[in-house]
Amino acid sequence: MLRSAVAALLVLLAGLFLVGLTFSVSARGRAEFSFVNNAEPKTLDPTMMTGEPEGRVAEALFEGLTRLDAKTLEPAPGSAERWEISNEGKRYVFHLRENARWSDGHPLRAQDFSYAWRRLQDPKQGAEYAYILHMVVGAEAFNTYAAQADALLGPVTKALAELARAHPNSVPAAAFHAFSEKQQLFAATKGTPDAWLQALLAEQRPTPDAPTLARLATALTQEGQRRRREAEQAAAHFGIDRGVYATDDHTLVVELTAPTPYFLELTAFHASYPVPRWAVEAKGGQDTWFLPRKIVSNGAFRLAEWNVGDRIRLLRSDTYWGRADVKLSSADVFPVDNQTAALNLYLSGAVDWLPSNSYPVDLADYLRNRPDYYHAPALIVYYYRINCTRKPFDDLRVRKALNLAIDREQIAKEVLNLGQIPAFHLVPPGLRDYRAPDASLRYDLGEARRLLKEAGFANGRDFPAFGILYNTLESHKKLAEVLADQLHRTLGLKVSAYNQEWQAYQESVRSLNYDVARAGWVGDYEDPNTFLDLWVTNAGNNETGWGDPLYDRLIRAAAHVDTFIEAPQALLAALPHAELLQAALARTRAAVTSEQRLREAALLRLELLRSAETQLLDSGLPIIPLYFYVVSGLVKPNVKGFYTKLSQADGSTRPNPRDIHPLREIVIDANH
Amino acid sequence: MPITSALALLAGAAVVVATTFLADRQARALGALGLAFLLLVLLRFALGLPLALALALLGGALGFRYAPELVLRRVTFLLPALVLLIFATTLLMFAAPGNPFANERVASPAVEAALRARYGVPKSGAEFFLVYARRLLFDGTLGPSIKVQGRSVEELLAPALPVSFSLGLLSILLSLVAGVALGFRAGLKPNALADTASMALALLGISLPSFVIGASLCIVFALWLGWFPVAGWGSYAHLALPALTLALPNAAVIARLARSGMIDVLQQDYVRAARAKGLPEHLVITRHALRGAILPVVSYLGPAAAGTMTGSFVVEVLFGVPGMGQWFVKGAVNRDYSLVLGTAIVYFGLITFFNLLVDLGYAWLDPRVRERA
Amino acid sequence: MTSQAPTSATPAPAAEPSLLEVRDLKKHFPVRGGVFGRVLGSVKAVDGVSFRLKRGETLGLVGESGCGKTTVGRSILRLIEPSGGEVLFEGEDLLSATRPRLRQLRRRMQIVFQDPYASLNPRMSVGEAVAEPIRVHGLFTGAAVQRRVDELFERVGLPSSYRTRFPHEFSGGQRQRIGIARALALGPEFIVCDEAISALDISIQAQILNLLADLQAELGIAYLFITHSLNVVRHLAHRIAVMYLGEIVELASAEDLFESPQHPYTRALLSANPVPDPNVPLTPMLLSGEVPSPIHPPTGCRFHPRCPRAFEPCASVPPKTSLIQPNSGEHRVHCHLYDNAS
Repeated sequence: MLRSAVAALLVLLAGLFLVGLTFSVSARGRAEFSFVNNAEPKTLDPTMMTGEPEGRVAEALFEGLTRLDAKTLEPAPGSAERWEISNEGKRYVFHLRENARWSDGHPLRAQDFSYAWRRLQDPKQGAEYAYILHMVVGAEAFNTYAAQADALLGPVTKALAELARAHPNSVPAAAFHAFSEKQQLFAATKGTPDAWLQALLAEQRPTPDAPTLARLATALTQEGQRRRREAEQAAAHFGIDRGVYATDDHTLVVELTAPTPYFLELTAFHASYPVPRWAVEAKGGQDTWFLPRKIVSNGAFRLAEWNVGDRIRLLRSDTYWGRADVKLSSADVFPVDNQTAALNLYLSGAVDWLPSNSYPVDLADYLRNRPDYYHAPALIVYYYRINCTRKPFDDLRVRKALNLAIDREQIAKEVLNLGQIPAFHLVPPGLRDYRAPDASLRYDLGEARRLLKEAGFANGRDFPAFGILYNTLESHKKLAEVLADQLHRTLGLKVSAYNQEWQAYQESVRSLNYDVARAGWVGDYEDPNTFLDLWVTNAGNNETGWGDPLYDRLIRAAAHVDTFIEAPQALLAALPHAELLQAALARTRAAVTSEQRLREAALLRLELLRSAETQLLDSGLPIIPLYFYVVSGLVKPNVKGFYTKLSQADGSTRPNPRDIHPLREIVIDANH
Repeated sequence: MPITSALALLAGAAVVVATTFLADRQARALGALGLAFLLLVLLRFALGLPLALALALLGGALGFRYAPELVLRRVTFLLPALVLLIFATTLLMFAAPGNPFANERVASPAVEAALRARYGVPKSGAEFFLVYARRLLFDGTLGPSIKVQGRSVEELLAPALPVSFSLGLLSILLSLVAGVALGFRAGLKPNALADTASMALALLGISLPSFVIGASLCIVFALWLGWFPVAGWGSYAHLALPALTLALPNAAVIARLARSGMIDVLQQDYVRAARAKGLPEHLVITRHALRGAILPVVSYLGPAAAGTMTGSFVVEVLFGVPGMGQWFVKGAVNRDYSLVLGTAIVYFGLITFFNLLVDLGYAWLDPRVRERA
Repeated sequence: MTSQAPTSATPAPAAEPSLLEVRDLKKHFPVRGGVFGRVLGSVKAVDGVSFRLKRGETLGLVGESGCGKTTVGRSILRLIEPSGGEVLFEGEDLLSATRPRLRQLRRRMQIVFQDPYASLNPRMSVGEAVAEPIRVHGLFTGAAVQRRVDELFERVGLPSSYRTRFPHEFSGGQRQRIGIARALALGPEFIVCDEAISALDISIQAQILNLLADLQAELGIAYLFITHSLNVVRHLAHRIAVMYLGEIVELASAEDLFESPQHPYTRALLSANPVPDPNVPLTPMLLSGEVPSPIHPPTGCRFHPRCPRAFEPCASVPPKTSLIQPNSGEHRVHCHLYDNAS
């Protein structure tokens, strides 16, 4: 018995010793500032990362040409101390700081940026965020054209020949749709100069006959050859002497295909951060260079430890050019995906900041009255997709009726009750200079019933039963059920809510295998375009089957505002209400200085986007916008340099819509 | 599922079943061969091929000569079962909708193809199985994780395993001590107030889900009393609440098993005989009743230990513990195929190991089993 | 019985004082039920049993299974706590003895169980099982313990080299020999043999009975020999008590009981056990019906529902114990048929 007891005790001691071995960093005590990160970063390679949790850490470890000023979230000089913009906003020349250094002592050079941007666009790299810099000359061609050319000249041609053989007379709309979906024809020919091809692909439900197919085959082959040439060109020059390139160690030139007013925000975004070529290209470095003890970074902090599932420890970098301004000496990032645990950590004082989406929503009522609670409308919209390829949802009147029969205000107040803002349009509020279209989706039951009757479903009679799909989550379920119930009570429709696990849900949505499906979109940058270019015909994330040539033209005009200024007539004539747009155009043309002109062109662009949103809401409605999220969190009162209200040029404040708080400027007030 | 995969699956299952019909001599030989093979695969990348080969041969020979047949039989079963496990899991994973590269933003086919090439994820399950087997055998790696980039699955599991392992060990010991003490006490005086009370408590422990127990412990001991940190990892204080949460349900089961074991044994004639010999009661219990009464607990301990030491997702998430449990769930949710297989292999290994331990423990506790083994 | 059957026991001298006297022994087990384990009733397993046992004497305690005979044996040794009555061992009441005193007394009284396998700890070598009581009571120390164990093994007819083996390595008869060796280890004056041979083959039974008889002759041990078979005790026991549903219905010398059984139950038992003895009249008298539940024993005479000779008072009035043929030694019958005999 005694022997057994001793043995058990020994095992226990061995176990405790083993535990001790797993403590490592943590044994060194609490960091000066610590916060909860909703998830473990997938990677710390800024080129490859995609999510918010990664972004929060990357922002501390790296620095782009610009950085976001904590007080305003407007671009401020980062690694570049100044820049010039010329050629109508299409050419940027950045001057890098002489004293900017990497954490291993290497000086930061302009080539580090051109290398990183080339790596981002390299098709072999497979970086998901490559598209965000596709406005750089040659980027898109380098990134996507080679694969598209391969497809166009290979499988697409073959599939087209088969299609022609199967349907000698004319191809039914459904078969052509299936073909173009399967071959991802729209993505593969996006931006083609071939007007005939453009027109064919912009058609809603084309039924091409044999001659058309033959011409299509030629056009596609030509397009494929064109793309191959451009891809080869871009591969040879992008990041070397075209698009983005260094003229010397401290000068970086960036050429854009179109003026991009938010470009300086993009240069503060992780996809555009520099990467250390020598570390990446070291043996086995490609996928591991960002791990602790290997990583070389240029930001205000350096990575001391990264214990997966436990914490990331950041220490103030002693090579960072602005280290004198960095107040924090250390920070801990806790990947806590359990919201209760996250809140407990905050309440017990183990962390200082609980960012948005990291506490249990059910406790919002209790938390809202705390003095350390903050909230702001977010750049996130919650909406439902409507499958416009299915009857009867292909009828605009039906889609409009669904939209008008939903009482968004009641849902926001009584179902959500977190301060969410009912969405009567798509683009969230709070974007600089952007004014949303006048609300046209207000609750109007009479109109909804009238529209439904007009579409042939008086009182919902004969309307087929349909389902609302959502990905498995309690809050989505609640909302889908409320919606189903409202549509049943107001319009007499037979609606059921059903769920699928995330991956299955994505598959269903992507293959248009749904009636109505829940969705959300987080703005990548502070610009309406991030919400609007989703709905371009057959765009990758459209996934509703909806398309409108006029809408596409508006989005294209906004992307190439200089082209629009030269030849606006055709588009203006096509629009029902173009007064505001015309006024903006006139102001742009009247601008005297180039700065003024740049500014007015930016406003004109926003006006174009606004026209696009109006068009989407008035004559498209492939969606049911429901509400705009709010960001809300908790932060300890002794945390300074943390701005929940952002200052604006005119002295007023605006909310912080993305809950971004650069670590560089955070100070812990010891006297508090 | 393609017909070839289905046939392969059936064949694999047949081989696994066939191993149980091996004659003693064959089992010894095959077991020793398997042992040598396992050693070779495990040691090759640590020691280099020649040394590993030598050690493997030595290990196989020693195993053939000295290892108990119980162990060698386990090995002959283990290898085909492991292959079958990997194959079946692969097919199941690929049958599930989605893939590791699916994201809310649609990746272009070129991006997806580039990622598939980089992570070695072909489009069919059978192809992936071959890629995986080749990586396992010739590169000695469980493959790259896709969820946490830049780290291989073994690099993810290696730091998590000791965390779960030590936490599990502590909680198993806690539950063993508490459960056995409570159960024996109750079993010695069945139907007394203490018995009824402790069994009611045990019933509660079994029926309450661990997130309720964990949350309650957290509220009382962390938020109200402030004795322990609410979550995280990094000091011995961090162990207390998760270990307790993990221990309570096990302690409850063990208490019930220990109680019924004790009641059972006390009715045995040999315990009466011990009393009749005039042994003081404490000697009757410790020398005669205890070993017999603990047997049901021991057989429960094997699976319980494997289960606890591979981590509990709920408890880890609740207390922010960087253990194994998270990878079981995150691997599956993200369709991180290599990670799923890695966790499955680890779990399989632990289950096999602990069952072997239990069998050896049985043999120690019971001379009848010892003889058969 | 085979020809090796032990020589018939002679009646022990009547004047000798009793080694053991049991007076009105009772054991009632509570019956629990319901969610909260309330006591719903009790099983009167033993209900007022009295008898005496002299030094060197064997008393056979016979009855069907469930009659309470095993409970009597275990209650006497306080392996289960009796509910009432007295057990006097050399005049000292065992039931009020303190635990330390009881442990001292255990040296003098031992038990041999029915199932020799169940009664040996499977996880303890048989040598240790026999040595354990010797050590615990401090009879011998050091090497002397081993010598004593060897001696005991030889005494019960087992090679002493067997002592390192475990119970599962032995046959049933060998195990029972070990059980006896264990009982003998402390040199007891009284042994309860609780169905000690009923689990063994017939041929082995005789060997063990002979062993027990030899030990009695040599060491003067008194046996309470509990069995369900009259035949087994016929030649070994001096006196025999017959039990039915917790009561002794008849108690007499072995000879008297077999030659002139009085109680209808005893007669029924004897007729059910054909005995190769021409003196016993073969009047087949088979028992009908089931043994009634001891939780709700029949009123009056407990045997009356099955008794072929039941008459008016049997169902309502409990019978008294009558002493018959007082001159040929004690012969007690618990039956209304003998109400006027004494």
